[in-house]
Amino acid sequence: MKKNMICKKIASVILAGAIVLCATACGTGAAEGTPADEGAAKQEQGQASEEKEEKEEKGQAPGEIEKIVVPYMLTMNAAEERDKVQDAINEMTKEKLGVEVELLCIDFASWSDQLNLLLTDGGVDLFNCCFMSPMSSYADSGAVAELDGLLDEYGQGIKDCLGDYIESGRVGGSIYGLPKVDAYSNRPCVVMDAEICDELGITPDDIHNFSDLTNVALKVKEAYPELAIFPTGTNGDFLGPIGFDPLGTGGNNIFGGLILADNNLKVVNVFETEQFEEMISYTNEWMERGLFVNDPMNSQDGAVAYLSNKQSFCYLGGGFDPAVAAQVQENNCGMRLYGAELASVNYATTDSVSGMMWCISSLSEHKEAAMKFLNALYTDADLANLVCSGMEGVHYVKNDDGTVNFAEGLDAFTTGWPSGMGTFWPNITITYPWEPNKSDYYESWIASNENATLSPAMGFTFDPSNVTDEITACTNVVSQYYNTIVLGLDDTQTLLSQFRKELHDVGIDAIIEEKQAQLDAWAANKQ
Amino acid sequence: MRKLKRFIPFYIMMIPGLTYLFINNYIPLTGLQLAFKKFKYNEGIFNSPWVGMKNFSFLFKTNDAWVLFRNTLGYNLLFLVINTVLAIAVAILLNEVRSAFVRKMSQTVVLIPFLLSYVVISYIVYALLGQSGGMVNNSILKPLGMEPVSWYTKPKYWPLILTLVQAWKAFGYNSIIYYATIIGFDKSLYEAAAVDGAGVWKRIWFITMPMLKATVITLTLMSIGRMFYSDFGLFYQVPMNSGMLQKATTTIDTYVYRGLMESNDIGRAAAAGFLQSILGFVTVLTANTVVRKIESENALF
Repeated sequence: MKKNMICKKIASVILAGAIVLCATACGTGAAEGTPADEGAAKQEQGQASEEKEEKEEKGQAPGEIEKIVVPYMLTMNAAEERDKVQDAINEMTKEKLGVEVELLCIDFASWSDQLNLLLTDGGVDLFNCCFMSPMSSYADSGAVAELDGLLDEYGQGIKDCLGDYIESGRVGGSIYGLPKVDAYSNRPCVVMDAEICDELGITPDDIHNFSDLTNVALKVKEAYPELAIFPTGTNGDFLGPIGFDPLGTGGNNIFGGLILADNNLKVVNVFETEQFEEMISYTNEWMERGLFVNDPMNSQDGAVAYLSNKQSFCYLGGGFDPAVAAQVQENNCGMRLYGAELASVNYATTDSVSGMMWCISSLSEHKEAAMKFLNALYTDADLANLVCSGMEGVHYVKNDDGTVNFAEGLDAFTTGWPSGMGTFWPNITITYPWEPNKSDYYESWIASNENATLSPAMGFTFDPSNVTDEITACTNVVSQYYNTIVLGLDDTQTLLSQFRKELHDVGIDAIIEEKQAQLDAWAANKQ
Repeated sequence: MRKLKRFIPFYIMMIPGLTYLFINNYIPLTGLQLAFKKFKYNEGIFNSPWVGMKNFSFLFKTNDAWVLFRNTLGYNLLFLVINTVLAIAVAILLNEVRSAFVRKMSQTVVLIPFLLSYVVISYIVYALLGQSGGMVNNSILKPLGMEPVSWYTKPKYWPLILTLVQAWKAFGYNSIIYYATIIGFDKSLYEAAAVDGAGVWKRIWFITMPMLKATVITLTLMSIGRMFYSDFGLFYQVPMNSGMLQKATTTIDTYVYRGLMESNDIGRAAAAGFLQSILGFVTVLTANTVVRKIESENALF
């Protein structure tokens, strides 16, 4: 009897819970549908997978047109005219290559989640491995296919385009990813509000390092006491002037790297270098003098947003040319900008080359078709223009000087094919540059590669699988201390020694040793 | 036999629910093997190579291993006690409200925090505790002539803050469950007690409380099963992922998230989840055994 009552009670408790849960579930369900473009993107995905299933059912007779799925990242606005562009692409590729392409639009915010999911069941064939885990981890877990054989057969154009940079996609013995054609090298720079500079007589030539920047910052602070100079400093931007090769552990998680100025293959603990201490002394000074935005630890907006809202005077970034780094942000910010360098040498490292790698899913059933299409993206200017800029006459018009601009009545927000994402595709350098760039704009990109100083470890890719536990532990230590130390929010000296000690305790030395061993083996192999 | 026949329609009604349970809760159990494997996309779950216990080691290879477990367990115990006390108190108060309008309205109002997501709540907390614009610093401490506190850099305050936030969010939902139980109690008991001269407090203490005991035990046993899990939103979003608070706010879930976000390592993520459920299972079994020793009729099984 008693037992029965308890059962009833349990049942009523569970029921009550279930009802409340249902109510919340309905709530979220309704909320998800609201953004129209997201809905559209989902629908398109649905279509893609349906069509894929259909195709698989029918089977593929040799010589027939093969269909591949290529995801495309949406950032600002939806690609409303995706179908038109896709038809135009297919018109080209069906005949020339025997490949039909299905473009899968995925929102930037859900890019990494969606792609990880699609990779588990072969939902994509060819994709850009960006804003996801490092390509090497996908190679390690068998998610991406080896490309060597495919490259030999169908990828001659890619090999010609990339030259030696193709090596940055090598993991172990094979190539798994192909970097896009780009300006690969980087130097740290600062992008500043040009109007304030002009008013106070500051020119980009005044700044060559952190010390110069501090003087300029103090001058601006004096003239505009209310304006913050630096936005949030939590994105690793301050590390640039140290000039190191992170050897595959990116962001703030530098667990062993090469100091590039030394030009040798000795892996050091970057957090224990003089250069790191020097950087901290500057950022701490900036914090002390009130040069940061209020509450920099909790500022969630991107650095560029602060600048365009006139909440800060500058931000730190990187680029192959400071002037270009400023110029590319001018349209986003709607204001004039100056770029100045914080170090004078352009370095290229495996990491700076491999930010955007094109890969083929290991579960793809159309690897040859994917490689054929990829080769065309690298080499065929018509195709590259189509994916980067849209259709001539519809989305863009050509100017007399060889640059292009929006077709009449369109702008960045109303165009049906977002043009700002041209750098997503493998080779933007064979397309027409957009106004206000000069017609030889992309030639300067290529030229910068020739002037770049290569890291001695260029082409080396670190395989972390032996030290994954140590990396996890060290990552947690960095997230605990890094921002506090850089922003000088507490006693920096004490924290810094604690930080270093904890890193030792959880095994940063093991990571460094492993890196050194792999690097030595790589170097010996190369000779 | 006749009894069984009478129940056939009910069994049929159970089928959709059981199918759902089977598909959703039992088939995925096969995925548990991932905790002992190195997952390879191109070979699938079943063909990926076994690696033994290697996936588990990362949870213990840190100085903070014990901090992780202490925080996870400690907060959960604290929440368990506070949530139960608060929920029962609110449920009893709700039950004592005579005006139907006020009662209905209160029921709705106490549920509102539960329906907010932790991302929203984290900004409400930030509006209160922010360094320069926060209400506590500007509108409370300053007028009182006290120094503003940098809340997001001082871990010592956070056990209290997290407990308050959690209790505020959860009390409504829990109290509705207790309230549903209380309104089911036999009213004649209360009337008889009133006739015998028992006041409100006496009735609560000697009738409501003892009768609630079974529900309290059931709910407690159920939450003990999730003792080794933590609400990611509460421990990651609400402190704004502030590094300096990590000693006070890091739990197993946030450690796993911070460490594996970069590497997309399915095997180790599965291992962490597996360990949490095993430990939860063991604690439930233990707790239930204890309950059965003391009051066998209230044990879950």
